Amino acid sequence: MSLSKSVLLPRLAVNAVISRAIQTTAKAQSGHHIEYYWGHERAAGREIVGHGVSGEPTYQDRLDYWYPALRFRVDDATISPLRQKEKSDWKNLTPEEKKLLYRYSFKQTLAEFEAPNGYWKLIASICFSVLSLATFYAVLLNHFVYPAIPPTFDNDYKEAAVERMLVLEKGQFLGPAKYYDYENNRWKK
Amino acid sequence: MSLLRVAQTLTRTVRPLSMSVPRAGAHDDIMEKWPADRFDKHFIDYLSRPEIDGWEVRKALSELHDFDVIPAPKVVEAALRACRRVNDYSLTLRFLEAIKIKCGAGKNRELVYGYIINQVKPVLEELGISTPEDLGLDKPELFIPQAEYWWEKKWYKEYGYDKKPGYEF
Repeated sequence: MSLSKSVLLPRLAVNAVISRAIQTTAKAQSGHHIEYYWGHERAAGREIVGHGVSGEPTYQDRLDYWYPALRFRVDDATISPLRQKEKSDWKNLTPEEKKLLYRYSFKQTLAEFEAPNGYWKLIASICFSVLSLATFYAVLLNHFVYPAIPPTFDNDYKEAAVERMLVLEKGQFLGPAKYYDYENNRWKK
Repeated sequence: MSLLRVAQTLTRTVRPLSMSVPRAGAHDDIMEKWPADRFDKHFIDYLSRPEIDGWEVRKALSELHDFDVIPAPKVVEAALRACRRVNDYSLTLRFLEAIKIKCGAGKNRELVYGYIINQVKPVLEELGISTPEDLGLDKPELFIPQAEYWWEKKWYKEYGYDKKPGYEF
């Protein structure tokens, strides 16, 4: 609907090229063409009622700029008589008409905007499944892939190494001998 | 050359502190610091203009929304009358919801919003405005699905996408 004319009607573009095939002046080189701005197509004939967030004709519900720049829906046959009725006394409007006026101007009420929407369950499930896959992969690697670690990592080996250092490095001022009480055969408090 | 400048600064007399204060007549532009009456008067004056436009009502309400204040009942009354002048009923509902936003959440909302509605009740009755509570809009009524998070199969039919080309893919 909003494509450029040369794509929608290709034969016209071909004719234009043929009629301009003979150029008498050199075409000026321009590097940058302004990108086509879709704002007005998106606005689609909705009435612009304010500045909104940025002055652009876009609709957005947001808590800090609560009055959007456009009405939400295009004025059509159901709402035009109501707009006329709105100009007279508002006591004549029924609640359904009032609700309709609101829905035509705005997308969501405050309650709907702030309501919990339950997408956290989807996000949490994706997070947990990714974590569990990673954990499962790590367990497989540790069990099947990695070679055995040397015996120097056992706790018994490490304790025996400390005892050896206590015997060999007795009298040194660094290492485990510094913290061992040799008279009473226990660690210093 | 610089030695001369240093000598000049040392011999020059110290300026009095009052030079740094803004000159007389330049008033403080920070509206958060204005007294409450002046702040309210600013908005009430703007909103009470008889020739006000829909655009200007929304500008005033947006600026009021920018500040960290809950509008006073007088300002609420002026805003509702301004909406009446531009013949926009949905804007009054939106403004009442904006007061709810400014109140925060929970208990504060009941207390302060309830107080404001009580204070403003005569105006509501005079202009025929029903609050969102009266219309049932304080509870969520419609749901808008977020297409990028999840899309149920039945929504294709509900939104009419099964008639569009490429649906079978």
